[in-house]
Amino acid sequence: MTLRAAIVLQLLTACSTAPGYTWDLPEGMPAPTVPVDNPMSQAKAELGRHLFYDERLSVDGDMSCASCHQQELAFTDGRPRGIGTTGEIHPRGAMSLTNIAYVPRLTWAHPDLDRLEHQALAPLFGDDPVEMGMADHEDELILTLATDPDTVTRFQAAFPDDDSPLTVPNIVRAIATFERTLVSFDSPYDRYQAGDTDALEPAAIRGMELFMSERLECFHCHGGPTFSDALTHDKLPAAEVAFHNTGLYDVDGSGAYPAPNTGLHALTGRPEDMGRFRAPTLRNIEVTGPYMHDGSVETLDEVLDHYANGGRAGSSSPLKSEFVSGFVLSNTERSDVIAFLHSLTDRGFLTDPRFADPEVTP
Amino acid sequence: MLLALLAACTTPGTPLTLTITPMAGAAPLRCGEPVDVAGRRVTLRDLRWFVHDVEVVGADGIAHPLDLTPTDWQHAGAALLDHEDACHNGTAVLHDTLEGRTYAQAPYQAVRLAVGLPPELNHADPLTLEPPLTTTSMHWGWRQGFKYVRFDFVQDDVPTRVHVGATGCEGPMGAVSTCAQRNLGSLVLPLHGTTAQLDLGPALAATTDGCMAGPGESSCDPWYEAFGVPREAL
Repeated sequence: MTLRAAIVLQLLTACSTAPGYTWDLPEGMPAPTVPVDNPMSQAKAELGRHLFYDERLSVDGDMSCASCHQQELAFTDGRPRGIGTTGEIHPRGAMSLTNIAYVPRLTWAHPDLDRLEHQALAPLFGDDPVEMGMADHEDELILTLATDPDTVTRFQAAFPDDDSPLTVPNIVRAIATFERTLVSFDSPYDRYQAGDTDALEPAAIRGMELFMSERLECFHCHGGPTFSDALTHDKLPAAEVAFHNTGLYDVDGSGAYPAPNTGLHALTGRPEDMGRFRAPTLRNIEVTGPYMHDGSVETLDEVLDHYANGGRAGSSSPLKSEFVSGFVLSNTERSDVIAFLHSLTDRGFLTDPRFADPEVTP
Repeated sequence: MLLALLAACTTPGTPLTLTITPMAGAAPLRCGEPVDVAGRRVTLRDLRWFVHDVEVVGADGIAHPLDLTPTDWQHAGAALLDHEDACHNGTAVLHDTLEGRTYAQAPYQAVRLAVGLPPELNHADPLTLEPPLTTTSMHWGWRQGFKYVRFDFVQDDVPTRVHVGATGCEGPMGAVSTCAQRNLGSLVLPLHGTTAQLDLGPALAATTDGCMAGPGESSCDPWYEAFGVPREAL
């Protein structure tokens, strides 16, 4: 081998190993967009998994990210609204982390919050409401983690270029990296799409056709690979950002939602943003009830009632999306649509040991 | 000539440390110590605020910059004033001084403060911050910046919060373009020696409401007045 060939080979090797992380994605599914200052690595994802399940990250030491984001519930908590470590009730429910790396604007309604690293600071340090309650406790958190040799080793492995890797920014970088690994594209629906015609029952296939119909209009907001029109990945020229008012509330006849859950409006103050929330993914929707931003809809059946009525608050709201105009479903059609929604459950995702509590599944 | 200029640059004025004391009328507001305001018992739990563009009005009536010395409490011309000592929650260390150098001549008449943070600090990427901007309880992530003022207190038994900062901001953290409500304040506080008082008594007497600086939040008006925040058109 010539010297030049050896160098080229070495460069090629360097390039192919540089990312340090291999996405587990079906063919044709683009990879998530990852911030350039926080590249993926297996070591960082593994540190992030440990931190995600670490109760030392809450002020009372009894709560981790996983308290509200439980794997078997597609990283939700089964409650209508979240409860913080001090017992404070959050105005909104814990959102699913299914395919969270593909979400361009995080939380239920934020016009600009576009990075998991930044979002993670809110549950950790926010005080209105208190979630994990760590505001002003960052120094003791670092000191506590620093006394644990296993944790220190994991930080060193995850951030090999840092002289002192144990920092708050690195905590949220690692948690964000773990969250980006939470991809779910292996439901019966996906297997059917991939050519396994036995993967879906006839009822689910009929339900899928209804779901995709102009009659029901579901797919306008719950379309695409994540069943949400708010989407970002590395094959899009720009992130697709979308928020909708579904007519869940109309407390004043002008479309108002009850405070403080006024959606985008709560941040922008613009009247036209009243009640606009991001369409959440429908993947694993079977296990993420109760539904809507405030958990005010108990079951998928009641969700269908809401949309069949053209919005729970009725048809009068002037701010309601044009796609929520109501429809009539027979009982069979209704159970077909629900069978389809259940076919979006990825059992492997809910039990994948790579996403599980390292105390239980090392 | 050149030497003289260089000397001027390396020794900018005289060292000066100012102390800011929060008051409720005639009574000092101290963490955990109740005071009476308009028939109510008001107990301070937390009072922290950012200031920048600090100027001192000297004996001649002319305002000169107070060039803030970089410390854990002062960074890039901005400072965090901390009047709580974890009597409720918070940090154990109280820090009610501004340290710097100035050309203003004693006896000093007043201190001028911009309340809040300049946009480039307020909207900096939270993954790249320096002290005191690392103070997590002052960060206001969902508002893409910081609380300029955090005043938490109990009135009789009712916890009340006054959080003032820029709201209605557009753009992700690290790249915010505009804010509908900038909510930057401007105060001139008379100096007695090197001590100035921040009197929150009038606002406490005027309202029992807190404030989250949201758009069109009328309960904020007395608080905006207390911190010299102009009412901005929505």
